Amino acid sequence: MKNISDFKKFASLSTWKDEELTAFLKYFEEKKFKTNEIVVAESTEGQEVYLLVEGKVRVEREVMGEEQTLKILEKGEFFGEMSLFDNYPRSATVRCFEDARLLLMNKNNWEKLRKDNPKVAMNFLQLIIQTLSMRLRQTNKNLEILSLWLV
Amino acid sequence: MIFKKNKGEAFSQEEIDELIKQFKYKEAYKLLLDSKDTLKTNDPIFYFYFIGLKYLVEKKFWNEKDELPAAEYLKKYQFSGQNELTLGIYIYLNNKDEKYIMDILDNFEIFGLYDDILKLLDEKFKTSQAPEILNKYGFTYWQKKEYKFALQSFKKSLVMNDDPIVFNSMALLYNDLGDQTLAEKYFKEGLKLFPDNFTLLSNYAVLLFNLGLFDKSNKVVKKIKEKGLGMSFLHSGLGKILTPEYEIDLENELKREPKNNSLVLEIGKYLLRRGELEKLVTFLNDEMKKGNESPKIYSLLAYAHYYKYDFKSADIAVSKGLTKFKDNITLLITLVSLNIHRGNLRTIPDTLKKIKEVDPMYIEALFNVAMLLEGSDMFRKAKMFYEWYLEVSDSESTKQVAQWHLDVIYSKLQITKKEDKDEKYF
Repeated sequence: MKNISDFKKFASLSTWKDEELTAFLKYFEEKKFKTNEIVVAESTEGQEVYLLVEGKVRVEREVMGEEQTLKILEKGEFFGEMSLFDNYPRSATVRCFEDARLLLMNKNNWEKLRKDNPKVAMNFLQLIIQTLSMRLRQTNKNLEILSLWLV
Repeated sequence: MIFKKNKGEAFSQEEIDELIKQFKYKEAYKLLLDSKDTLKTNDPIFYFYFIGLKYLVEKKFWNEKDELPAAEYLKKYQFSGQNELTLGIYIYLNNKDEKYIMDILDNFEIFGLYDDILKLLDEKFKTSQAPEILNKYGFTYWQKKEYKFALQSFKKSLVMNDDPIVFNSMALLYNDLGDQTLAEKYFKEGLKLFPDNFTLLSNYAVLLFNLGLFDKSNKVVKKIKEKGLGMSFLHSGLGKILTPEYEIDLENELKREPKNNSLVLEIGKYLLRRGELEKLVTFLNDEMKKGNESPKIYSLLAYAHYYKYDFKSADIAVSKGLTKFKDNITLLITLVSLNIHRGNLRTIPDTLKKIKEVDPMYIEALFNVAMLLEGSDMFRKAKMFYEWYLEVSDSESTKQVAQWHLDVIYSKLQITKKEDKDEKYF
């Protein structure tokens, strides 16, 4: 695993204290994926959150039988976090755009983290809330832009 | 895109768009006719325009045996909102399979070609008792003000099948004839069978209001609200029957709080819902003179002018607003919106760049909306949004994704970016 200082370069974790990050990362395990390998598949069940440490992944969705890329995620970005909190199937496929290294935390480890270190768990929750809040804001902007058609 | 005529000078797609927009069908048709052969391979979409315009100009159905290259995407353009194109698509489809005849009739309605509808109905369905045919006859006769035949057709239709739209048509028709008693009878009969039908409820509410039966009318409106049956006031006509007391209450509140911009906006929106555009413009201008100014008020004023087709005043309103509230997002978005709807597309990227400086999330929204439009098969609109995104965004990875999507759209539309640079969309 990388040094803590490397993780602090990620915008999402830049404000965390060293000891909080160390404690947090203990609950993750590392996995490596090759280009084009699927990390999570749309409509399947999964209960892990991923942190992209190296490489890039693409988020894809099947539209009328064709795979469409929705987004490219870069290192430092989390994905799959909602699966820790709901039991819905994955909403999209995540496939490696290039060789990638990821950290993943499953639901059991998340529960352990909550019990063992509530403060760090709270930090992570706050990060997720910020992400969701940004998505909600983005959705509002999307609606405003979409309403350009509705004059 | 530049089209080459078989003989003579080339012309641009922009010219065609402009001619169609101005309903100069003959001129547009002549240009397309001259380039007919190259259209088939270069831009089949415009070949469908050619087919549509052929009927509108010559009153002749296209009946060639050609298979157009974009045929597999054809149906996706049926909902593009470009009526001449849609008509062309249905004529093409109907040439292969006559099941599209009703779609052609629906399109004729958009163009007000009621005699053509009756001619085609007589040719194909003269003795039919099918409700949809009888309804089409009824509606067409109604539009031609041939009420006797309209009523006959609707009555026959109701014998065959209960349909809320026919009850609604009967009621409105009797209302047109000045017989409100029979109008109410048909609304009531229809609502007995279809108590939650929004069209029946909203038109019944308007009828009751016009008869001075305000309490009864309000009860129906209340039912619509409770059931959440959709409250597009401006388009359903319900805006016209919002109780005047509401306006008076708001005006009284504004007298108490003359500097309350929210109240100015509330009254403004109320007038807009009622479609009282002249009154709205006067009201907003008066309030602005009193110092009640906000970006939203300028924006509302611009839209009021726009709805009145006074585009110059709409521009002035936005421009004044932006002088007063520099780089305000609401006003910048209003500017983009007005320019989109008027087809002034060239200035839009500059406005988007300003928006990006204020809030880059709006630029990401361009990409998201592009995907949404693409997913809804609105490829030309999606293309425009992706292209703007590529021009304005700084996010290299998302730009890469946008380019992938755009390449797919180019292939679907069978165009290349370079060729299509000057394309107009509306």
